[in-house]
Amino acid sequence: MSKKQVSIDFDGRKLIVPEGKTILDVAEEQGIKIPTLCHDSRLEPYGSCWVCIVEVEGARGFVPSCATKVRGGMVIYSGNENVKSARKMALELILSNHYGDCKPPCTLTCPSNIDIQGYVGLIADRKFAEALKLIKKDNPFPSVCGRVCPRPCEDACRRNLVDEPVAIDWLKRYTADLDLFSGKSYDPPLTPKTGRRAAIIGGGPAGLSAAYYLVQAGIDVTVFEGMEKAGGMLRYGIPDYRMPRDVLDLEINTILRLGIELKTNMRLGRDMELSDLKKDYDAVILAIGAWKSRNLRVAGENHRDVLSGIEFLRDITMGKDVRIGKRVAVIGGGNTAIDAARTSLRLGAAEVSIFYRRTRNEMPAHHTEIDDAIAEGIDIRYLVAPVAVEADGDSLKSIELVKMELGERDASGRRRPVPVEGSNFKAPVDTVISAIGQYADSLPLEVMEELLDKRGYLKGDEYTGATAVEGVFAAGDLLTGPSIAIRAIAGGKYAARSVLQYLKGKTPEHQTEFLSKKDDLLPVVSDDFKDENRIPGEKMKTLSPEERKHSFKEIELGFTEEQAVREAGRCLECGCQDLYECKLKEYARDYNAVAARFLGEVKKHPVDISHPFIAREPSKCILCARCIRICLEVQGIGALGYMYRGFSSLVVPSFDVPFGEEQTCISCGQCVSACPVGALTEKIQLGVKNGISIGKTVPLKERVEEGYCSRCSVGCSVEYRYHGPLLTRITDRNEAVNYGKMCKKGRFEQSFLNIPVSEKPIDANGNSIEFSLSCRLKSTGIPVKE
Amino acid sequence: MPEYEIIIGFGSCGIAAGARRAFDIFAEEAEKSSAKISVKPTGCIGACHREPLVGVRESDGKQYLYGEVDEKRAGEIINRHIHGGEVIRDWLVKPDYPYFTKQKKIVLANSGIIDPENMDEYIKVKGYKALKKVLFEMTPEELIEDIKASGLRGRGGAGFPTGLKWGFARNSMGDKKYMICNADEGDPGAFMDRSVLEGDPHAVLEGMIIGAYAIGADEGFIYVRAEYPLAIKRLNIAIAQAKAKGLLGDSIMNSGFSFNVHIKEGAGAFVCGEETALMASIEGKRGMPRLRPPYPAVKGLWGAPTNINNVETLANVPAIIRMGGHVYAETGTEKSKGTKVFALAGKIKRGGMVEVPMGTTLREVIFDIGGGIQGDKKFRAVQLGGPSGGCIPGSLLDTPVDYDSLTSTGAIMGSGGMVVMDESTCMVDVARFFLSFTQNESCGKCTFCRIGTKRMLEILERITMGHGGMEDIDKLEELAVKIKVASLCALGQTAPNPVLTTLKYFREEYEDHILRKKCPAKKCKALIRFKVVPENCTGCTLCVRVCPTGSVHGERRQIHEIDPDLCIKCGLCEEACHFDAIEITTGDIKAGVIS
Ligand SMILES: Cc1cc2nc3c(=O)[nH]c(=O)nc-3n(C[C@H](O)[C@H](O)[C@H](O)COP(=O)(O)O)c2cc1C
Ligand code: SF4
Ligand code: SF4
Ligand code: SF4
Ligand code: FES
Repeated sequence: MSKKQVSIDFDGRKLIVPEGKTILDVAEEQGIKIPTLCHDSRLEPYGSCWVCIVEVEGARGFVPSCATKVRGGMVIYSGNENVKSARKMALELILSNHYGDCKPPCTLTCPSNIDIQGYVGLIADRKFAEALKLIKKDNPFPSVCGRVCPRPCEDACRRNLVDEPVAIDWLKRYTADLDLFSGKSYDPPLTPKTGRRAAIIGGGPAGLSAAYYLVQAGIDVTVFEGMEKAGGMLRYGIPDYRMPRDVLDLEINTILRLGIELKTNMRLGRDMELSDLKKDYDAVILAIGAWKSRNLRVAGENHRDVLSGIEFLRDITMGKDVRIGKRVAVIGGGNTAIDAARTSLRLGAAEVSIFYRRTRNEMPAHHTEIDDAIAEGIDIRYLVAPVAVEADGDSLKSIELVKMELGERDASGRRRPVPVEGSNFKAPVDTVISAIGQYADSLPLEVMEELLDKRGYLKGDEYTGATAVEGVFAAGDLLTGPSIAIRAIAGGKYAARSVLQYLKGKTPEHQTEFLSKKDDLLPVVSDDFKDENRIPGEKMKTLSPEERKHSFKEIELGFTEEQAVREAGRCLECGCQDLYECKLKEYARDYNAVAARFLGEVKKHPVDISHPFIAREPSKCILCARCIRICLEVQGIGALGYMYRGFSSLVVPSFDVPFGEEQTCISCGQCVSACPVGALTEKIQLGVKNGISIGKTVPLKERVEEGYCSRCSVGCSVEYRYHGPLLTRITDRNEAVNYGKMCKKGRFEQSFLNIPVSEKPIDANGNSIEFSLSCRLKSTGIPVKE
Repeated sequence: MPEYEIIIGFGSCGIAAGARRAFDIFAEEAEKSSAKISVKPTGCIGACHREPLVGVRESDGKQYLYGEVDEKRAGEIINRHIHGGEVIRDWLVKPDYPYFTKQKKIVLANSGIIDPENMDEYIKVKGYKALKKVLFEMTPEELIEDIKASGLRGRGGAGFPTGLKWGFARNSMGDKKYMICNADEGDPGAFMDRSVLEGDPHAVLEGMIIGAYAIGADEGFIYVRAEYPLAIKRLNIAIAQAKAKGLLGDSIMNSGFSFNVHIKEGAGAFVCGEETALMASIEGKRGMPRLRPPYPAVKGLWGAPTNINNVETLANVPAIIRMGGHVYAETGTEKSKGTKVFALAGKIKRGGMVEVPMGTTLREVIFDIGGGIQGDKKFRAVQLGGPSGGCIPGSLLDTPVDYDSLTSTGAIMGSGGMVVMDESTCMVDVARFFLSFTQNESCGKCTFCRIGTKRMLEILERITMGHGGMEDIDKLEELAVKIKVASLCALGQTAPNPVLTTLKYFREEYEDHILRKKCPAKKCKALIRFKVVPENCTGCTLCVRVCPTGSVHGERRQIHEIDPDLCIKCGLCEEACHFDAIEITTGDIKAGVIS
């Protein structure tokens, strides 16, 4: 039967199309993307989300394209401003009551946005190799960071609202060390060489990170390092007891061995010129760090016993002899100050004090470092600032200090310390170490003055690293000012991405994605976790303060496997399982939707994990009713339904029981496949022991392979989904014979596929049974002769 | 032949006002002197503001209508009028009132005249004549033409031409078709359909059978809200009577045309009055509108072609057939024919059911028929169309009551709720009230209706609480405009109307709330304060005694004072005070203080 053809006007195009097609179908054929949320090709049009709307001349208002059939002479506008703004508003209204975090706060706080929930979850599931790969996607220095990172992620960790944060950093260290010391540590896959060349100036965390990502993309990379060895501040700024050299060397080697050329003792402005490099290479990344110490600006500071903190640390790490007195006064409150103080102690100082001009709350050093320093006997004095250093001939006599009090807030939001008049006092000292800040030496950059701002600092885009000079990028402390290692590593990663964009002829840009955040709508509070079990964090074995005070041996000794798995099990899995497939997230980005534009009441519902295979998170439900409809109209079951009216409307299992107690559900998973957001997700079963799912459901990027289900003779069309070697899910495919339908067996009962063959099989009672070829074959249904 | 026929208004309005007491008294009297009087109930007589109403019809045909007939008056009427022959003029509801003269009764012609539970009375007033005429003298097509000629438009709200709609359903292919009568009447404050069903159920039934004949349906449903037990009872009686007389059921009047009708009680959700939701509800599903097309005429109840009409629409039908479509079309305006029934309510002197020819102005309805504003306060606005409608200001009182003129004001004809508001009404609060109704009643399907109206409501709440900002007005408008054009059913499409019309005509009130933290009507509690007027206060302590929170202080014969922190603004003190010594002020609270 040939359908009648009609002519329509679609966005100004005259088209001849078969009558009876929907506007959405026509748009698809024309390659025009119209967002849809409540539409499901397996179901009748429904018309609830109103994001697919278009304008049709003569119609009363917008019409849903998913449900409107073309008629002869129809004039359709699918993308004018009116349509776009209405779609945007629809999305914003939906988002205003879509209470969920796309990504967890830990990841969002991490400067390099490491997939923390992902790797922590994989550790809980004992998939350590996959965890490591996930980390290395965003951080080539996990063993280093696992030791020195001040862990902003842990401050943001939601587990703080329950008891104490997940030991994110120590878990990273566990996984990374496991790999690093395995003897066959992980190398990322490299793409074929492109023949393009990049020069990276500075072999610190930023430079090496940039090199790591560029070399993976097939770029020939040369790193020019000014010092004798690569590592930058990691090597020359952090004492051994925190950052053992063997770990650092090994980890740097995992980067360099990918084919990066390292040239040491090459200093910009001394051994080479920027302009030459720019000529010789396709792109240049500046990552020379911030190595100059700020002056104290007090009388007498030029005495030889007044040392600069970073220079002091550098000399020690280089094995130089440094003269240090019995009484050491360290000025400052950052990690350099703490490191300098603790190092002084290890060099034999008897009395070490730290003088800081604000209070402990404002101290930039990490709180565990502060605790450790105090435990080792270092005296920290708050609200004091140096006024003068008094010498007595060759040696120092005392330092004069003034008491401070906190006044108005400054630009950084911290209260500015102001001196209390007449409160000066003196403290006897032999050595003063100043650690009040660092800055970059921009002298070698002055040859290209466009690079610098009026005050002589490098200017560049915070996200892309692009500078005013085309083809020259910056990363690390040089760009950001002195900061933490992971920020430099992230900067390196971003600069590498910008270089790649640049080499492709594109303007480097910072990719943005839409992220739904609970806190944008309604703050997450402890009460949200009132039913969560209190589980104290795993304690890492450390050297005692007595043991460590006088040695440079590493203090923190790492987790055991069981500790790591238990600790990872504490993760609350804050991010959304549907991260990589959520339609709402995709459209919100396409339409620049702002979730908080129509701020109002937000319905918080508890997560329902009672179902063995499906997690239900009604707070994320957008009420598209696809689950209800597919369950009833396609499967003929009707296990889900609506409840209440108006804004309170809700989708619930029938009789509003927990999903696991719903009597008619056949666990076909159709509702999950229909749900356009993360309100219905499946529990991915990676952590399986003795056939029982343990551990975490991890949102992972998947590779899809089309195939057929082999659990019975029907042979349903399915998609096998993998993350690396792991089978994550088996999902439906809208093709013969099942056309999107699936059964419980095919969909969910596949966790055994991830059981390593070496693990002993179990019988129905969970007892392990003798492992023999015949029983394995029997289990596949192949007849065997006994 | 009795000397006196006593007719008692037995609509819900009358019953609520105490008609049953009056009925009993007259019935008792009838027992005693059976020859002299007969007593019968009827539907709503119309002048609801004077219920209970009792009509006295003398044997010579003279009629008198008494109002406010309580026990005392009932006794007096028996003594003085029936036994004494004296008409008690002071209590009469005078028939020369504009209340009556400006009305024209087609739909309500029998209401208040006949006994709705007695089919013979309906037949006496030419009942079922129209049915007979169409069955034996007209083809369905001719019938549809006649309805088209009458210009009748749906009275359920949308105003769609009934003849056209019947034509669609007629032309739809199908062995099975349904005819539905929509008696869900969910608008708060509307009771037109209830009155018609209670007062003249056979007219609705007759209209429905005629419609079924027109489209070719053999089965029908009357969807009545369960809160209308009297209407349901009378419908059941009417159905049984009609069946018994062969006017309903198989081969009606031996014409070969069969039609059976069922009553379906609605559970009370407002949205179930929407035609597709109503059908879903009859099918036993959750009452939720669905996309149209397909329209019910093509795919309705259980997938069969279906026609659905409102009660009042159907009640017009027998009259149209009897007088002929062209004659009917002589009443009304060019595009709106016939009459419209309104439930006139609010701050009006004479509220009740009124039926006026289309084209009558609002001023005539409110001031001539309704007698103006209670307590001779100033007119503020009239709300038409309930939660889907809008508020019309005094400057537009000369707007004629017809579909198009009302729509052009931003309000709608709606199903016939007409609420009159005086100067003590806060228009922001009115908008908030209606929106909270629609928000609660939204079926929850559409994004804009479910969440958009909620966000609008929150903004209105914010404004009435004194926390609004001027940007809120923009946001309200932005949302309102989009909700109207991006919702599936008319609930969402019309929900912003009360806000849009109040913003259009009473914008300065919004600004008062926002900029001056002032509620001119002194209704928004957060923005008003109760104070003692020292000059008037006699220190009588009455207010101290009524105040539930102990916020009024003062010794006897001393000037009292109200503690603003304790006062919950319940207004009891103001009601109690005999000396006008409690005043309500607004606009004098500093923004920061409002919590
Ligand atoms: C939310 C909503 C509620 C409605 N409620 C009623 C109602 O109570 N009674 C009614 O007759 N029509 C109601 N309607 C209108 C019906 O959908 C339909 O238009 C009407 O029954 C058609 O009859 P008519 O053509 O005779 O007016 C409602 C519409 C909506 C959108
Ligand atoms: S609980 Fe887990 S996912 Fe949530 S913030 Fe902490 S580590 Fe991240
Ligand atoms: S849970 Fe159901 S109704 Fe809610 S978003 Fe998912 S599919 Fe739609
Ligand atoms: S407009 Fe409102 S009531 Fe109507 S279908 Fe949509 S959500 Fe339901
Ligand atoms: S209304 Fe068309 S996809 Fe939701």
